[in-house]
Amino acid sequence: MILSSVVDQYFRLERYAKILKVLAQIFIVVAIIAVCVLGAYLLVNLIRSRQKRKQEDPEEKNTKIPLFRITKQKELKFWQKLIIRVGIFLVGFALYMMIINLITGASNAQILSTLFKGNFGSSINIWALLRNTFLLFGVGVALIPVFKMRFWNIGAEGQILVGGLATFAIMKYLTPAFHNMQFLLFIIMFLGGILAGMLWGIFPALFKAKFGTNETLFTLMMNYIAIQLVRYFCIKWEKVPGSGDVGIINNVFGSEYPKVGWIPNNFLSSIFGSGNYVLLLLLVGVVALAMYVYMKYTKQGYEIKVVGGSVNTANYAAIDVEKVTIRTVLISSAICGFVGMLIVAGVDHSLSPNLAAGRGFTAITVTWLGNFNMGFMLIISALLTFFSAGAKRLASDISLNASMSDVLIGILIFFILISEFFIRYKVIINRKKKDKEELANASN
Amino acid sequence: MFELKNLSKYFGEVVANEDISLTINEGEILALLGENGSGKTTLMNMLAGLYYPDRGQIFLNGEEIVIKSPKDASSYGIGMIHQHFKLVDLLTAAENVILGLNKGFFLDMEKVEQEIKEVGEMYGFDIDPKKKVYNMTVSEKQSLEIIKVLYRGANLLILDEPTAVLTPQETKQLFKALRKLKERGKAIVLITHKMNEVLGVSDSIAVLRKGKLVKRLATKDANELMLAELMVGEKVSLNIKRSKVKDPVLRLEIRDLSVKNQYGKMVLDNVSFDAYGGEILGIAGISGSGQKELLEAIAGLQGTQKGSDITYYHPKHNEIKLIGKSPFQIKRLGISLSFVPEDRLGMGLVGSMGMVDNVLLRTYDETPNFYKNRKRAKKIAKAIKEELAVSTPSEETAVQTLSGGNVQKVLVGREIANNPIVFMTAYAVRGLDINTSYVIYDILNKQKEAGVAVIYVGEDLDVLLALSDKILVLSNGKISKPLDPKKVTKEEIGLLMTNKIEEELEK
Amino acid sequence: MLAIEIFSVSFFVAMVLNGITLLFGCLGETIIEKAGHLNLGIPGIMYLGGIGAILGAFIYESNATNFNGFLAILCALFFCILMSGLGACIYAVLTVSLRANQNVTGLALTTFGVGLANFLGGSLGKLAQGGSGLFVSVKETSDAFTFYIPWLSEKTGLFGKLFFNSSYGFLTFVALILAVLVHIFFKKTSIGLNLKAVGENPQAADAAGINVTKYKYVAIMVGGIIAGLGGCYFVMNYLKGVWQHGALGDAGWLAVALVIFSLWRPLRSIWGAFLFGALTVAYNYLHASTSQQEILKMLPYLVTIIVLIVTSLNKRREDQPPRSLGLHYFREER
Repeated sequence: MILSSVVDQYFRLERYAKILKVLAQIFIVVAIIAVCVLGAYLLVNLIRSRQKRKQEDPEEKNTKIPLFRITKQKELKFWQKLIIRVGIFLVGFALYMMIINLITGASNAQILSTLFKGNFGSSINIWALLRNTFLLFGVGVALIPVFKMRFWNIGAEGQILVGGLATFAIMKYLTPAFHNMQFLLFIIMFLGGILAGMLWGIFPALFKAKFGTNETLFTLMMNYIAIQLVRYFCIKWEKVPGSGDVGIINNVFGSEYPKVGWIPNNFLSSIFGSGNYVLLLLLVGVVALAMYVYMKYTKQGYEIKVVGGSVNTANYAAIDVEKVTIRTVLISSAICGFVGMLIVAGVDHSLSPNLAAGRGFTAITVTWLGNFNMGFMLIISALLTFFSAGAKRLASDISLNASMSDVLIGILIFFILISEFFIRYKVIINRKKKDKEELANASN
Repeated sequence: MFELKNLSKYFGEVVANEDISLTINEGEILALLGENGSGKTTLMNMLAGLYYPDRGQIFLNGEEIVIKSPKDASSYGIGMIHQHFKLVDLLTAAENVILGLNKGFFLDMEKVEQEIKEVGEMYGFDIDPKKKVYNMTVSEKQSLEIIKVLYRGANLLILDEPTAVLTPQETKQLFKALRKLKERGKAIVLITHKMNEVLGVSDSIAVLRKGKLVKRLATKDANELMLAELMVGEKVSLNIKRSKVKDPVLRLEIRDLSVKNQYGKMVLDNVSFDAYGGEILGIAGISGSGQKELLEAIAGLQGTQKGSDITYYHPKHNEIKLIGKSPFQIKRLGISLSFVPEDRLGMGLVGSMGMVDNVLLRTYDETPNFYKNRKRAKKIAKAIKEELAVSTPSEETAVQTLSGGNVQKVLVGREIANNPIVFMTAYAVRGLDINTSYVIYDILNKQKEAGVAVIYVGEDLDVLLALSDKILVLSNGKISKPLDPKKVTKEEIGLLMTNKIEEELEK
Repeated sequence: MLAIEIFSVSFFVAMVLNGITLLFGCLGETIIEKAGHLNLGIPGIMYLGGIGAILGAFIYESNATNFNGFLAILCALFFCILMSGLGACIYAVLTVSLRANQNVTGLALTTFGVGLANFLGGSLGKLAQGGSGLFVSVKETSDAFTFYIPWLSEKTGLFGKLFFNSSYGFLTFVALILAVLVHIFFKKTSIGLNLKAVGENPQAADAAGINVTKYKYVAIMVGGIIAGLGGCYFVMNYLKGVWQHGALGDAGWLAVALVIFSLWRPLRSIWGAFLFGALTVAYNYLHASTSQQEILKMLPYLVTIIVLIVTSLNKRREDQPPRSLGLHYFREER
């Protein structure tokens, strides 16, 4: 009796200690975040209060820029931006390591090696990393034109989902008719995917252009309608009643048309080995390239930038703002639908409400924090994918809860947001330089 | 009694105010008179706590006070009614009045409404405390701002161009109220540049010119001509050459052009005039008299009232009606209309883009290609940079990072490169140094010699007189007859600008 | 396909339990949006609030020798507030002081919050049940949360069953009272008036002597904590103290939708919450096939979109989102 009660008590105590440890870990994390943020805030306030005294220029008051002025960054030199970004990212990464270390007790070397194993351990891992990076990047690319236009499309998730849904439906119903003409089937799937995406984009665009309906809230709601729609079809088409699982379509085994409608994953297998995603990467790459050209070299891309810069100026320059708005959102949602098609036909070969896997939301971060620069966007996509895959590996190898990957991704994004602030802020320091120049000019 | 002593304020190299000493007495309406940019608003902003003076002191009843924020100003009984109202339009009048006062945790709206009514009755403001601001007319909003300031215990009321947004009837109403306030012992400062108002309502006048106090005098000793002289100063002889007009061709015929603003006020009232190719048509007027709407109506950016008519005489084709056409349609008709708007970054340019892309705004749609061609724009941008000496690190640097003068150069340069047939400019030299201004005058003259119809909206009367071939004066939305700048004097234009009827001039 | 079961008591109760969860989230988000901030991190904050409550209850249950319901509730609420406050604090610092984009910050906060909640849930599950523990249960605390007055709930027939059901607990009534209080706050108090002005026109508010930054911080924190209570309510009352991975589902997004549906009005959000609650659980009580259920769940979002469109068409000023929603405020711009 006595023994058992002692054991019981000990047991409880130990439990308590464990909980305390977890709590301590959480609070350390919070404290570090708080200190970083606070420090940044104080520093900036300090500089700003110094700045304030100097800037009471009436002209500056009149031409004061609205918040969105990311372009001010052009004033920053490339290496300066890089240093800020890399520096703050490294702080975030150190925190990341620290948290994992605190929770699992694994050494830094262990964590690092697991991270790398999770991403580069096997060719499957590497292809998964590349594939997921490019899919995320692809959605980010889709968001470039709308965000440039200052249209807050946060409905990419839904647009991907319906794109995937349409693709799956086409594969399901048209495979028998077109299995001999796979190319045609691909074209139909492609068209189906982008049309579905466009269908999800046209309503918010139309109402925004004509009546000024808030597009952020509209597109957000469209996501959940898409999710429910996909859930509906998942159950409707489920293989085993009650499972909600539609299974693999045109499976290698046990289906009449194995791998029909699948994006081939043995493209150039002599070089890349089988099970590669070269074709998928190429397709995303082509879209990205096309978007790059579109935004940089075409009149339409130019019009988007003018509308985003100032609607008044767009009117002044004889640009039809309504038309540009609708056209641009359609392009964006079409690409999202296309990514949905890629996911279904190239990766999942199945339908699930989780097929977009939050990419529609994460991509907002990618585009915004990558500052529309495709290089940065690709790096951020790769980093986010790397850390999320790494954290999953950590979950299995050193028993870290899989949800930790979301926490860590969240923290990384917070840190990138902080770095963005510093970059924007730097710009204000540059104004000083400009003032000096002006003084010099005036005295000449 | 408020006393300002040697107040000075500098914005960089620019003198906004220098050594201004002024006494503001209770029970007196002081009119602060001056041209645009003479430093009236800056001076009062220092009293209202928006700017902190670089030098000088402020005394309240003999004691020095320091005003660092609007809150400080309010605590000393100073209230300023700005040109742009600071009201929350979703809230009612009463709610706006007590905003931020935190009198008790729970609102006692009935009491506040009663108090507001009392204040209103006392000074002759008719205001419904329950009315939402978004339902109010401009004059109601203005009354509300005044009541707000009074409710907070102001003894000194500063009104910045209060009549700019009012109809004549509403102006009368306002002045009646101001007189009542005066009788009750409040001090009132009226910032204005309209002389008839000054003479009509004030007791005392302070005239500012170029940041300095020129003269303080009692209203009974003043007359318009004298004030106009004080305001505009000695005639400055400018070295602007005016080339002879060679066979002018009718380009634009404007008939009965009327425009209502968003508040339903007529900002242009049956304006008619012609513009000829090979001539510079100067348009004088106090800012906000309808210049912006006039140019925008011609450019197709402004909705017009029925009966308005704008006809364009194309050099090759027949006449074209411009009224009701969008900028896009006007462009499609092959009409080369260049326009330098007043709000450069807000309308003429995209601040986040560089020179090249801003030049492209006019040229990108020249070809039917899908791709844009930046080559020509680059060339033009480079030429603008060199010819107008634009100070920028490169042609790709975002124009919003340039100084105001450089931004203007980019805009003017682009519009000239557009090879216009009609060239409209609003305040083309605002913010430019003397040398660049002359460059611009030169360009305008060249355009004129090339047969372009130039419409020049300006504020500097000396320049207008020296440059223009004809001068029109806009005043409260009405336009004068064309005047000959060689015969008319600056003072006469000044009088026209300030609402004096034409006949008097012809006497 | 409409069955009688829709009129059953259990349907009504499920509707209330779901509706009140949304009501908490909606009230919190309403306060935040009135300050001009669109906080898309509300789903994350609700998850944090939910796991906070579980965490507090778990700590208490594993340490208390004599279980005291009141202390258990206090402990759960304390941790709930702490966790949701943490989420709100991150959002406030990033968007108010560091002027980060509100949408990006909010979405990242949702990722973070949902992840952290699931992580803690998983860890607690392991602590509670060893190796592969998939869920945590704090039954005792949950029971404490749903205490009821036996006479009122059981002896008054249908009335008691509907309005004082034994599973409501005190938080149900707290939510309803809170909705009325928030309504009074915005309509009748000077602080509420000031807050409205901050979200509508921060320039004007600043000119009237209101500390815009302070108001925004307080609104975001208080709103976040109220939304966090929604998470607590859901796990304690609806899930009976059992936490599983992804326990809260889409409740957070429904709460965001409800804010739009209710047109930023607390009183309207009460019946809106019950309507949404009914729509989310209706499928269980209609003889709908499982696939039709999913279509039914679409309804709240669809209704919200319709409301959004109608309000943008009729342009009634009172029905519009707060003017400066989603925008930053730079004081220097004055």
